Amino acid sequence: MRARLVIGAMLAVGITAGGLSVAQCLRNQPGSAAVTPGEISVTQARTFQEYPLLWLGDSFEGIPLTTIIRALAQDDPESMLPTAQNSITFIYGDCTPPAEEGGCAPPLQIVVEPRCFNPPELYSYVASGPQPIRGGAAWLPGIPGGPILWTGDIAVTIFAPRGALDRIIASLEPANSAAVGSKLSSVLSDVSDPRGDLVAPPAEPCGRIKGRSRADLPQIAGMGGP
Amino acid sequence: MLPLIAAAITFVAVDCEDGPVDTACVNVVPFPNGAEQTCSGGGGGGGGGGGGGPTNTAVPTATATRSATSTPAPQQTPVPPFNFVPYTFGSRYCEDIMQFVDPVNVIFSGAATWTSVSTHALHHGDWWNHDGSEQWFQELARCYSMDQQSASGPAWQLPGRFHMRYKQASQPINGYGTVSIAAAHHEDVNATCGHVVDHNEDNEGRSGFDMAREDIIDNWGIGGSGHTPLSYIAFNNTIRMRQCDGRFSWSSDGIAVIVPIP
Repeated sequence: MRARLVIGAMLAVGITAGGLSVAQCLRNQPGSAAVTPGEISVTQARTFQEYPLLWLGDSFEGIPLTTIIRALAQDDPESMLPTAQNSITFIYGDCTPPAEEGGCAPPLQIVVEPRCFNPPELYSYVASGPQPIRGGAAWLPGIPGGPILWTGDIAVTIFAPRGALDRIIASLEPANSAAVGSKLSSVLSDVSDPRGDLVAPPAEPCGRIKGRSRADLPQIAGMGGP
Repeated sequence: MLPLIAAAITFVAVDCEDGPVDTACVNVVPFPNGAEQTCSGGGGGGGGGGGGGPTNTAVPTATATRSATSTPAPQQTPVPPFNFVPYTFGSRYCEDIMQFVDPVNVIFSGAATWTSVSTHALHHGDWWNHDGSEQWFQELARCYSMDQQSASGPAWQLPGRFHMRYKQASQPINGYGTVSIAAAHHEDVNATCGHVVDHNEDNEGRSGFDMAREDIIDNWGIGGSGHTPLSYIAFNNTIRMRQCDGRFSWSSDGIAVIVPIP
């Protein structure tokens, strides 16, 4: 009897573990589910179709990819500032938050979003202005909260120690090449060279920012107001 | 039987190797070639107590602060000179990106001494409480302790509270007068670990940082309290912060409000 109980318990554990893992796998099948806000899998990032994603692969200089977060929210027109979100964040490394209060930031984060969710005109107050980098991409390192690289119709914020930024930019490559197909040419000059030149962002300013028309935006420094 | 179970589990594990990234596999990771990654340690955390006052001690940082200068163009909003890094730090050395704690999302201007900010926070938002841990601000490449913090309730008020830490700028800023910068957020009490800034599902995708800023906009600015005109500036301080429950807070939208204090 004791042996049967042990075997039964092991079976239950095995089935439970297998069940959870199968569910986890299903969640990660390409195209199996819409990418909802929150943490997502590598597979979900690789099959993301809305816009090209640039990342650093599974690790960068020994720092592993630990978390991918999808942000998606609609604008609340009653809010003074637009509340729409549409981004994917690749987080490398980790940190230990202090007990009780306060968070901490992992050492390397790459945020990719449509250009008009974080356009250059929001930062026209930065005296240096964008500079070309890696081909035609526009790079603005002087943004106080985090520098941005614009290429094609995406904005890529890089949170990292300053001494690593050049190496990070050189290492950015598409995460979802197959999923975005022809859209890839909107960021890469030569789609066969994932670490080659990046294309320039469009010259014209965004008509809508975070989904809201300029006329409906409050006065934001550097933009000249509504 | 046992080999079958083991084989099934092994099969599932192998088949699923391209699953979610492992969020528990690493802890603090060195940045091998990061010039600014060195950190000489420091405080972090710390117990409650509001008090404070402009008695903070500046600690020189080892590296230059991020900065930008203001070059207002005609018909554009002049922007304040950015003498501060738009994040609070969890250490009194303010050196390391991993010490970032909260984004700066409110700038009080005009006659914004820290005592004035404290008084107005009580008056407009009933942010009467001063409990919370100490954090630091980096200004002019030096690290200063905060001057004060104000909250809408005690630290363990359920389900949570609005809370901001703030520091008065060391010197008046041309065109903006006496300025204080603040990192405001809404935080929930987590019974197992302490405070966490709100997660994605808590507020229909709006972060706890943005919620607190909106509360200030509503109660100080457009609520008829006379702190107008409000203006805004984009800092892009949207870095993700891991909270004590192991999850990430929803990020700030990277925009700060400038609130005049007459």
